[in-house]
Amino acid sequence: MNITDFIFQFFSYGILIYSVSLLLFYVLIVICSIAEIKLYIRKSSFTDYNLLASSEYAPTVSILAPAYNEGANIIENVRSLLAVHYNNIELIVINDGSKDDSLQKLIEAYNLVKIPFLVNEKIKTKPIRGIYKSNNSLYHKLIVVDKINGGKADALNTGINVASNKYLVCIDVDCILEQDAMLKLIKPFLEETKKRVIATGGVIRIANSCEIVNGKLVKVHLPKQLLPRMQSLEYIRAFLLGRMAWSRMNGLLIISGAFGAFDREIAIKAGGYNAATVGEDMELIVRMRRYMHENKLPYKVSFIPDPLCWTEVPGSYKILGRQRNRWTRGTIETLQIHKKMFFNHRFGILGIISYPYWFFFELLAPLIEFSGFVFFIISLISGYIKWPFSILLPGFIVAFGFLYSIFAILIEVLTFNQYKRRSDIFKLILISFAEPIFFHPFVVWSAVRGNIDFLRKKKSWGEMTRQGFNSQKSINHLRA
Amino acid sequence: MFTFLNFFSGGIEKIINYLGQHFFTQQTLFNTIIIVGFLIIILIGFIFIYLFRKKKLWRRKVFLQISLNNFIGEIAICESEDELNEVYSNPAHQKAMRQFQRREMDRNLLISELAETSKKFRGITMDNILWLFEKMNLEKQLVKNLGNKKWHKKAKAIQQLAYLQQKKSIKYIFSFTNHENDLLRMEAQIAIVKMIGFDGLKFLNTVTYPVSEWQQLRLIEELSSHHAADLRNMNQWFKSENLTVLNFTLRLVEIYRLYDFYDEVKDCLSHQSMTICKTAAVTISQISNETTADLLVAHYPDYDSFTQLKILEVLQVDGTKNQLPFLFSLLDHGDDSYKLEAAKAIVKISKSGMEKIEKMVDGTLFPWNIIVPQIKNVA
Repeated sequence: MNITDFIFQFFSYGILIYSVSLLLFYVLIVICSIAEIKLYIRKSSFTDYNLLASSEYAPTVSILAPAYNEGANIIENVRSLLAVHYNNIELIVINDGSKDDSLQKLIEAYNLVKIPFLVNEKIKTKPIRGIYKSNNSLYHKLIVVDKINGGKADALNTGINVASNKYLVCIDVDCILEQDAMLKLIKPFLEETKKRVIATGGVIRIANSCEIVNGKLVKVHLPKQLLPRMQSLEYIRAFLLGRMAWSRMNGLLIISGAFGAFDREIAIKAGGYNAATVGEDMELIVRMRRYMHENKLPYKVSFIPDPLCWTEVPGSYKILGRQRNRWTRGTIETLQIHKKMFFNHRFGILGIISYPYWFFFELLAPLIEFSGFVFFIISLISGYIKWPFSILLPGFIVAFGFLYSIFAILIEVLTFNQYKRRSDIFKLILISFAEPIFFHPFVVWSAVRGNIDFLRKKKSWGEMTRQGFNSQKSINHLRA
Repeated sequence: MFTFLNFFSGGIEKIINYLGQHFFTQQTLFNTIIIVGFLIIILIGFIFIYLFRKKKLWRRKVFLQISLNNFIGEIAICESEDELNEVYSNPAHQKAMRQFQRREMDRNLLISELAETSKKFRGITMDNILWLFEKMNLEKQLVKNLGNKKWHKKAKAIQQLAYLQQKKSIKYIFSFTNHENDLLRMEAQIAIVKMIGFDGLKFLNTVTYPVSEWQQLRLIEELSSHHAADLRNMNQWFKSENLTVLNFTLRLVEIYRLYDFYDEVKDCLSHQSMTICKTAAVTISQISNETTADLLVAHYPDYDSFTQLKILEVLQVDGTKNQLPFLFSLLDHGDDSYKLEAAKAIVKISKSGMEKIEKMVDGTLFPWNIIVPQIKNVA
């Protein structure tokens, strides 16, 4: 075997072995997620969540909603959050130095007045300009914090300092919550007796094309646009299979920043959100877990498969590219900050399985896939390629990808079945076949660009233009 | 170095050759793709068969529910057994009921509907529903479900027996109150309390598994619909080695203001578990007497910051002038939260409290420039 043959064989089999390992992980994920979802659904069939909503003995919760230039919809969004089905709550809206009239609108709509309020700055943040509460007893649960712009993580840290309740629920102000979302999110904290539950999260679903009236989801539709539709499938796969499986293994590394609950005491002890990273949601979970491990405290990060929160996803390649670029940089930053855990048995499953999985199969996957593609093209041009093998290899990987997607759709149908029409399920199946051509290569490319931007030390969030649920254009970029 | 590289590449080459010859042959890949393709077709077929079947079942369920709701609606308003028999023997209802009796799935649907309906009613309506349950001999089906090997079916049957007030099965259900399966155990505990109220709490005498916070909430909620009974037998729960039982007992003392247990709660203030101490500190504030504030201040140094702040909150209600020196000493605390809570307690206890605070601190500097106006604002 000469050196060129050797390199060719090495790459071919290297990629194949990598792919097979990834696929074996996927099989493990499927097995674990089925077990976890089955258990959850059986448990839920006995549960009366309303108990939590009405009981005066239910734990207290602080909802933290950071807002930057959300003036267009802020009044409705806050009203929707105030109407959330849970009694023992306080709602803290953090105006992160908005340049629009968000604060003024809130003051007028909710009769807010500036009050003296001691904030115990347990986590360092940008200065607070003022704290407002309502004169109207109807809105006694509302606290509005006006602060200097510091980004989403800084705004959430301010909220943590202001909060007085036992649990924190961090939410994107423009998310649409299910009626019982808060109850379902809080319950796992109360169920566990042997371990302390430090964070919980639920399934995020895609609201594009859904019917939303007065901040409430009225009817679910599969997105009409191609890109959001593909993301629907991607979200089903990621949440119903991936996160449920990691929850089963107690190896979950991320709770979505759009809607997640945390134990306030542990979040503060771990140091709160890291304002220096663009992946602050993942970083906080990893740091909280690391804190618990280092202090030898038994704990759990819980995840529930119920669709709790609906959000709008990018409808254009430009915005999607920015989002995926940022997610990639966030992942790299988090893994870099906590590199100590890599294959470190002191961190248990976190160090031995979760971190390496994220490193090899989330962080490196796009790079390996991209270099594999480049290698394929070079081999093709140089005539080195063995035709049948080089068709069969990607064919095998793509076929397995289809199988994984179809399986995710099956789990969705068997469990929560949000898309009631059979035609919607049929469209989802069709999308699973189109995804490897129209969606996946772009996501891989965006991740590669994320790696490049990370090396260039780019720190921006990038502008995230949303179409808005009322077809109004609004701009959401928390870091200027 | 060169030798190592040669050795290394030679090793890799051997592995590659081995894999190529034995595992990753073109034929293997081709066969795998075919198998995966078949699996995809089977799964898609299954999805649509399932969706069709689900829709069919849903239609049947809706049909049965409509028949049942009409029937239950008529049964619910009957005022005598004769009336009940008359409604029951109505040919239209008889036909619907025969349909329900035919399949196990339908019988279970009927039981579920009756159990759900029974949640909403009391008195004569509830009695009529129970009459229907017995008349249709549905207990047999529930007992069958109770014997099911699957824990969730067993638990569901326990739940339904409780909703339908089948007190004959209490003894059997009680045997599950310390079962190793947590959900089965929880349903059995709730069922017993649902059926016999406070007496049902006797499972606390024997339970060795933890009673989760969620379960405690459920029990508290369940008890709220029963008349508070004599709870003097709680003494042994205070001695329980199961800390969750002790914690729950403290919560009961707090909720039902059981002053007789003041001494037991007092002992819990020095319990080795901080969780118990926290609950005890909150509980004792609800059954407080003139010595409580001093007692809490005496235990204050042993506690974590959460419990200490809780005690300061309690002193805002139960504090006396005896605690003022202690509270003034906290105005120099390193944590501003303590300063705020101590200042609030001082102002609540002493009419001249604010005046004294303003003399002691520099009201132009942080945090006093905020704490003082904040307290005045609330007052």
